[in-house]
Amino acid sequence: MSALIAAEGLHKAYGPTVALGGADLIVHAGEIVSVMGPSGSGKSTLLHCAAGLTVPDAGRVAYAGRELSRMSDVERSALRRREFGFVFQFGQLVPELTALQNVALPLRLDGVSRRTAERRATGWLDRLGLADKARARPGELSGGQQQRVAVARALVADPKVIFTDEPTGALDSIAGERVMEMLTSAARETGAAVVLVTHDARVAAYADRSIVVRDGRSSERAGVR
Amino acid sequence: MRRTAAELALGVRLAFAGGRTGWIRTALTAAGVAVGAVALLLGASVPALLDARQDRALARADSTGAIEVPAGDTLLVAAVESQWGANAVRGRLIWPESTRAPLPPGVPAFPGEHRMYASPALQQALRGPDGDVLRKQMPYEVIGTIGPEGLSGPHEFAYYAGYQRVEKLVREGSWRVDHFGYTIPGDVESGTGTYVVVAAMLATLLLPIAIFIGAALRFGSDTRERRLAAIRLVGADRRAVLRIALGESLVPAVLGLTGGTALYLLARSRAADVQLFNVSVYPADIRPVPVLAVLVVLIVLALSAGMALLGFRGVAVEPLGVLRRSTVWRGRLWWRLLPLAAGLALLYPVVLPGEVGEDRTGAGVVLLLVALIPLLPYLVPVVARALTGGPVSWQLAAQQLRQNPVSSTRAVTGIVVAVTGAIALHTFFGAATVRRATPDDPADPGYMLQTAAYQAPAAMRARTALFEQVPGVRAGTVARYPLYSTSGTTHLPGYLVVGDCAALSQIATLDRCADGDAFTSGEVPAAVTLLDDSGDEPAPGDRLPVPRNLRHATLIGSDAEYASESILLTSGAMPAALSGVDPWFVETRMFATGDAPATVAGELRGVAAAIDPLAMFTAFAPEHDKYATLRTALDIGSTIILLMMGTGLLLDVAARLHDRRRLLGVLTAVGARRSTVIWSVLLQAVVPVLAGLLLAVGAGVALGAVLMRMSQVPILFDAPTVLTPVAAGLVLVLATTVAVLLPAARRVTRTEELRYE
Ligand SMILES: Nc1ncnc2c1ncn2[C@@H]1O[C@H](COP(=O)(O)OP(=O)(O)O)[C@@H](O)[C@H]1O
Ligand SMILES: [Mg+2]
Repeated sequence: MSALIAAEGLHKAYGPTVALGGADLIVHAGEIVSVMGPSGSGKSTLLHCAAGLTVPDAGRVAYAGRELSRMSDVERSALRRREFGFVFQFGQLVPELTALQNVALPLRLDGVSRRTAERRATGWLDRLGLADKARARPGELSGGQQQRVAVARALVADPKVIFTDEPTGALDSIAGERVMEMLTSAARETGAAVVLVTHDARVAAYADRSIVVRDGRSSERAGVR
Repeated sequence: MRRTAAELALGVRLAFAGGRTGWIRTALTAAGVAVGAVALLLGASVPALLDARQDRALARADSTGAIEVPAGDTLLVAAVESQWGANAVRGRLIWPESTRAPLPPGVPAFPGEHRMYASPALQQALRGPDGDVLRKQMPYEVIGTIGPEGLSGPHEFAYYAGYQRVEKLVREGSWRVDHFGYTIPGDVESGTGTYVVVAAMLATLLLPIAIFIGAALRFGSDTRERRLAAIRLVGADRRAVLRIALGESLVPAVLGLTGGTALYLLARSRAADVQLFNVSVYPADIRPVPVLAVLVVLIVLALSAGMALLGFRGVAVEPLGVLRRSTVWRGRLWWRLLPLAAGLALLYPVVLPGEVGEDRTGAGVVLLLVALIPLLPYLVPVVARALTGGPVSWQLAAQQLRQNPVSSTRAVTGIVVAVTGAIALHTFFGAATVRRATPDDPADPGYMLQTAAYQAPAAMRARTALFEQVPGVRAGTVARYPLYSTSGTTHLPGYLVVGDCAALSQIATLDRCADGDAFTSGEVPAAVTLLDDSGDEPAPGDRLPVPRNLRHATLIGSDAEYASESILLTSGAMPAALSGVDPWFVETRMFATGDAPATVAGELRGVAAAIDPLAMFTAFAPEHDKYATLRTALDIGSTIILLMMGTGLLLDVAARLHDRRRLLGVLTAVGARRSTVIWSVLLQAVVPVLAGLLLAVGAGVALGAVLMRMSQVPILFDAPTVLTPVAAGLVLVLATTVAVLLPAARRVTRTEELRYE
């Protein structure tokens, strides 16, 4: 089976700081891969490169066989709308929009009619136990609820890959577990792959496979599951 | 298509839900757009307004030019053009020669002898204070009101009075008309000059408005950009972000357009209350030309959209955050000098003697104003570079000014343009008023009544006495006969002037005078020849002996200028042959002293009208400050612009402070004192203003001089007129800067936001 995402030999430096020094990341369709490592080791940078949000100094990233660096901004943006989903630690929701509008946003930006977009968004909100919060704005939701809205939004366009970066980092453990349960079960159901960046072993336990990043270099960690 | 619509709609939604900051931004932007919309709509109404005025003027035009209309179904007309305070009075004395004679527009029937139809404004003034003084000018019974179709505007002072004597005055003051609405070739004003001026004024006004909108849109832009970055993450591409921003700018644009239209309608409904230069307009005459109205809407939308997009210059909104490209400013001088050079080239004829074309000069003035804008960002770093050394705070400020002069001077430009314009116009109006406040020569009278029929010396004295009944008025009446020059030059050598001693001493300095005395200002001839009526042949048989005992007199005032060799005779020295001979003029000259009442001009006109309503009355002294309304308008206009610019500057400083808070944080972290940092930000805001105001004084004085030269007004300046706008600008800037800066700077330097997100 060919890899959905193949990132190889990534180098990235911020001035004197080397964030990545030859890291790899292979993701196959439908699998959940955790990326672990201590704080500052380069996990986030690796995820950003793999999702085409950051351009690496060296190395290549291919999505479904197509190299991201060869794509235009328009093509990469379309990928983010249709093929990718994102759940970050915080701050990715648009505060002015309601939960429903936030979830429908990728579809609306893709030209899906408002009715269809909101119907699908409502379905996901129901599924994540937020049916009664559709009209609430992010500021009126708890941290866990906000992350579930973000999960619903990441899933709404039926993506192939969901990139998550410390999705539970700002949550207490119960709320965090709930978010992880919902995220992974929904991903398995829809067949989406998940890249799960975390420094928390309990979160990484939801993954099929684990990669460890240390000082900007990645290595496969054997023996998980 | 649907994507674009969704993006625009998203922008609209974001504009509506932006929290407090968002609302402030939307409100400020909408306010800027509204001011722009009002200005543009008023500008778009000018053509229709001019057309309407033209139509009104044409409809009642009764001047037949050189054509003499034969008697028939005709109306006899005589014109009485007068003045009441600031208002010109258009009077017509009429008498029909047939029942089918044409009726003037707006008049329902011919008024009988000494009855009149009067305009509403005139009737109101007749009822008002000093109405009895005004009534002397038109001592006729009001029997009706002239309708709007016969008036140039709601404030016009006009009347049509029945006056049978005009029958006897045909060709000596009255003429026949067989209809109203004569067009005289070449008399129709083209209006293109007006369009050019209006367009130029709008362009100058739109600039500060655009700057203001830009500043308003930048307000709170960093949270907004972060939000756009979040939208970018879920799949908006770069162009989509711009479209979302466009949608966002649509909200204040539409709000402003609506508000502007409402303001315009309000202004229109109040238009009847306003008058400028004796021009008042009917609200119905103010309507935007449809094409232009559409254009206005487009311009306004384009303006706010353009400013919104311009806000993204140098800013890259990426999915992970916002990147600001700090471009190094490369100020090149040459293109910045182009508008200046063009303006100077257009204005060059001003320094040459002779007449100067108004259109060309007007364009030059506007270009010169516009030329200031690109010059300022160049000037500021030059100043900053010149002032090296000094305290740390100054060095920090100077460095910022050198690196980023455009953003430092953005809001200041508007202030500079406003102050320059205010200085130029105020000094010009000031000088123009000074010229009109005194007759050309202090020896000349303020007012003069001229009639043509012979008057015996006693009658002349009686006439003088009539005018001297007005308190504070001295008068003198003389008869003038022009002399024929035997030397064959066409130049008029002078007059034979007859009057009493008091009257003659108003024309020349006499050593002493008693009745029977005679004077000359030139050679002593034995006899003189008078000019005939045509003015260039000697009158046959009018060779008059001159009294032998002529004494020397020195002419003063305009007589000294135009009539070098005159002969002045007291009535006792008048040759018998002159008795009963019509002079050129019997001229009563009136001087108002400080004791004269404020309505002196009106009183004198009333006395003159009682003598003969058709006699020529001339006022040399000003009866009012004709620029008063314009000055007020200018003050209001420049205050609006200054306030807009002040707010813009405030927003700008706040935004700049925000942009640089990390730098400021670093500076305080490495031990710079907080006061140093605050001072540097303060200096950075104030130095461009000072440089700009300096530029404004120079440019304003230069432009004022150009305007004075153009209007043939002596060029003079007084310090208060020049410095008041400067002080206003400075106070405004200091107040706003300090108001926003000190609290903000304190807050910023306290919270050291050194961590990146
Ligand atoms: N935008 C950036 N600018 C400068 N340095 C950065 C930036 N992003 C990451 N870094 C640096 O790169 C290194 C790796 O960061 P990151 O990928 O965020 O690590 P992790 O996610 O594992 O904590 C860190 O030392 C961090 O300081
Ligand atoms: Mg990280």
